Amino acid sequence: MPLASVARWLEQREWAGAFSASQWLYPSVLATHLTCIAIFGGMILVTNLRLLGWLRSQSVTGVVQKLRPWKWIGFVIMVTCGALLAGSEAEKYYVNPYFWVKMTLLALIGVHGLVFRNSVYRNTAELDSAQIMPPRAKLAAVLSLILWIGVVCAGRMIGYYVGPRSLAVALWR
Amino acid sequence: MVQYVALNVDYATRRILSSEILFSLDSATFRVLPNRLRKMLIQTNVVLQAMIEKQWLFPATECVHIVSFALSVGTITLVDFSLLGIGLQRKAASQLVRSTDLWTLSGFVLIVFSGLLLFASDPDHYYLSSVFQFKIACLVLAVIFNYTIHRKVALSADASGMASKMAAGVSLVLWVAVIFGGLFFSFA
Repeated sequence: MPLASVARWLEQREWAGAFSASQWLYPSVLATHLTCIAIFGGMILVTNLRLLGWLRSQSVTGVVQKLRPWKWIGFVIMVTCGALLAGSEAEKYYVNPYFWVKMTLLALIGVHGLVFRNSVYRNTAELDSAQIMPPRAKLAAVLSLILWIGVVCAGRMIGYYVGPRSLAVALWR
Repeated sequence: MVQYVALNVDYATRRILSSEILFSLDSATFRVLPNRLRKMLIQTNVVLQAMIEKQWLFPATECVHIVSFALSVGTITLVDFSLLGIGLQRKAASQLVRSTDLWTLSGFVLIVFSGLLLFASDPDHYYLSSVFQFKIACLVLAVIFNYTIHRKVALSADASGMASKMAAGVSLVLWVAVIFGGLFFSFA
């Protein structure tokens, strides 16, 4: 099924129009999305700082394993908010390059998790005892930081794109 | 020679029409500033000029603002969660506060710096908005709370007592209010 027609179908749903035009509901969902960036983005930042060798007082096991369920909860909340936000204006998001950059970066984050899974994320006991963090852990942390900061910036830029097609759609409506 | 823009044109039009971007003498923000600052600002608003010349500067400043609040508010909420017994343990809280101190402070510095730049781009729009005023009030309360009561409770060895939970709760509510205020302000 071509994605463009799925996007059009989504945006035509009744809830979509009411939601994206609402005075308080849409901003509240967006603010929740932003709060999750602060809380769970903060957890991810702290994990990466520990993998780089700072924040020595916390064990790697602590920041990686113990915080993992909370990071997943945060991820689920963010994806739910994101789905509501994007789904209610699906056609405008479909043509928005920043949105696709963000989705690509999220996919790359998934790849990153798989690539460094065995050497870093399931290997916390060994990393705990390391005096100096091994290069692979540092690489994982740097890449993770670049990818997540990229996601946040691309997300912010979504609102700034006014494309020719979306403008035509808005005018046509 | 300082140019004055006509004051009977609405604010938005004034900004578009004026080829020299000014800090209008009619501006509410302008009136509360001390004299020396007023004299500095009576010429062109350099922040606004730069942001109009290079369109990407305003979004870039916003991104710095967001990432730096992820850093500072994130580290603070991590401490809050450990005070509530979520995530890291309660007894990790005092070490956590000490280790993340510098990062939280750096985050605050970046937030204030980027925030001031954003504010300078359109001072009246920010200064006159009650939502923005609410946000700044919450921010001031949150920062003061963080460096006084919150810090004291986190550094004490009070194992999962009421004080820990209440301090964590107040801190979370204040910071979430700042974020919500910031977003609702930019929407209205």
